[in-house]
Amino acid sequence: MTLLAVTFFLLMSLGVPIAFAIGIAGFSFFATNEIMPLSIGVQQVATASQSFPLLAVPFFVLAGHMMNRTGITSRLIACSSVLVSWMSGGLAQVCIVLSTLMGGVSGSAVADAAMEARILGPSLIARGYSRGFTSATIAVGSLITATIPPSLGLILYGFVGNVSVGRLFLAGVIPGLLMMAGLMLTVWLIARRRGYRAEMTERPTMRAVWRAVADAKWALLFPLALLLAIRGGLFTPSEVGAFAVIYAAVVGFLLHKELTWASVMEALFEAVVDTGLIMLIILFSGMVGYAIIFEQAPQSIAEAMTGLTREPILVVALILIFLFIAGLFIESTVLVLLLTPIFLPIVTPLGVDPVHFGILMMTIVTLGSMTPPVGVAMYTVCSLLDCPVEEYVVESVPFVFTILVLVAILTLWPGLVLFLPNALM
Amino acid sequence: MTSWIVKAEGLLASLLLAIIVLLVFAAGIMRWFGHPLVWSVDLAQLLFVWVSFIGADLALRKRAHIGIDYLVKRLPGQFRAALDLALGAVVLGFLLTMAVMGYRLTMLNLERQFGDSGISYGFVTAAVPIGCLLLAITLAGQMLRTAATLRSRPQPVFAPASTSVHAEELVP
Repeated sequence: MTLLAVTFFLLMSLGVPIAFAIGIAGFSFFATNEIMPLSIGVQQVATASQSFPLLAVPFFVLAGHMMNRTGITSRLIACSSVLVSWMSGGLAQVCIVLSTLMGGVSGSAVADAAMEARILGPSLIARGYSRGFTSATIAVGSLITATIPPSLGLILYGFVGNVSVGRLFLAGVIPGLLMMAGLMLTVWLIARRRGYRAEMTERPTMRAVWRAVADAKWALLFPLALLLAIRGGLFTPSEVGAFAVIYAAVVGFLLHKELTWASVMEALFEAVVDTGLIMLIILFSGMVGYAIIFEQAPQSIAEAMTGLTREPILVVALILIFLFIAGLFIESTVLVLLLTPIFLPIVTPLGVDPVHFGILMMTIVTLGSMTPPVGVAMYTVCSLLDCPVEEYVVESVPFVFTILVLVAILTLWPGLVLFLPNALM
Repeated sequence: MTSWIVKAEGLLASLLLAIIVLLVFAAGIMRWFGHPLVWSVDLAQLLFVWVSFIGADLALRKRAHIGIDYLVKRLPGQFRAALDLALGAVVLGFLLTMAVMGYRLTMLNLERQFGDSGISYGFVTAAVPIGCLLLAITLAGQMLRTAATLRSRPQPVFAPASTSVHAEELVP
């Protein structure tokens, strides 16, 4: 186990792609273990792919790429702009609301952050918002996209921890909306102090709002249809993922008439590459997952933790603090794959709901990709907007703080997370 | 030549992904009408592991696999390229061993049935050796290119994720 951990961290810090680092680390366990034949390790790689819920990953990735080509994105931008650009820090508010609306059609924070940095970022900077503030708003705001269903992170957590993805999706709705409210408040406070103006002097008329909403109706209806389909119990999340792809095709071809065969092929190709990126990490981590269980790592960590305290809230808080620190250095997919099987068996016997824990864990872990030194969303936005990382770090403090306060609130009041799944499923 | 292979790989994987979507969609619809199609989900699972490995190979060709370059980007170019070549050799050894072990396992698994479909489980296992072999070939090619330009224009083997535009849409 020590060899495994040392190999992983050494290779990763030397710049080896994470998928290979994790594969070689798992391999080292099987190669040096006298009882375990190497072929079991290879078998684990093949087995990791044979999970039905995991099929939801390529589906929602593909649906996201297709939605971007159906004209849904531009309609959602128009819609958010009508809704909130009259507030202080108008354009920054548009970014936050857009992340929320995009959350309903896309499951990836980094994809949303990249899109907003390309499309909205330059106009914010042109209106006098500082580069750091713009980058921080877009990067941390994209956390909402990852929380509102569909969410790739929650699918992965459900896959590893054997937790209902439908319940996880429903549980993400209220935290996602609270996140939006919290970040809008943060933007408003900063904008007031710095004099970032509103875009429009007057509030939009009901008619303008109605027209923008009606124009974006197919995008706005999608998350509702998705939750209804899963909630009805008729369809599994993977099947809903396949429906999402068909839905995007129908909207793109028949309703918006903006999708072409060439762009479908582009979307398929991009989805295949993204799927390869995510799945190679998942497949190779199959070996490490087996090693973790074989060495009874969860049990020994659980003993050490419960020796400190048995109070469920404190145990969860300790885990979250650990995850926050780990998230600073390690990529979120890896953390979910490796740490869910360790932490979930620790908290479940203490009476913590796996769905509640999943939302908390995913939020903290995904926040890691918005914080230095290792943060994919942060680097993506900063490199697209040409923002020095130091400036980003300073400006992101209030946003990260808001998220941490929200996580604390959600930890203390599980009802906020569990209300929807308990009421509806 | 290579671009032709990339195109073929991309087309094949795209086609497989489209088929998987239709298979799962059909399974959902048919179950709704009371005629469940058991084999369609099994087949989708089987194709999925192939899409994953081919996709991984395409991503490697674009050098899009995420790595952490926080430390190594501070190294002088030539030193970093040399380090990458050494690490690449380790990865190459790993991939080739996986390919050999995977081949043996596939031979063992040929008899085993996959679900109720009557398809051999060997088709699933075979994706591991073939996928690892594809990755090994791509990586070897990239290492050769780095080695050839090591003195004149040192290039890292594993490109940093942050400068690659393609590295963005990958993480949940």
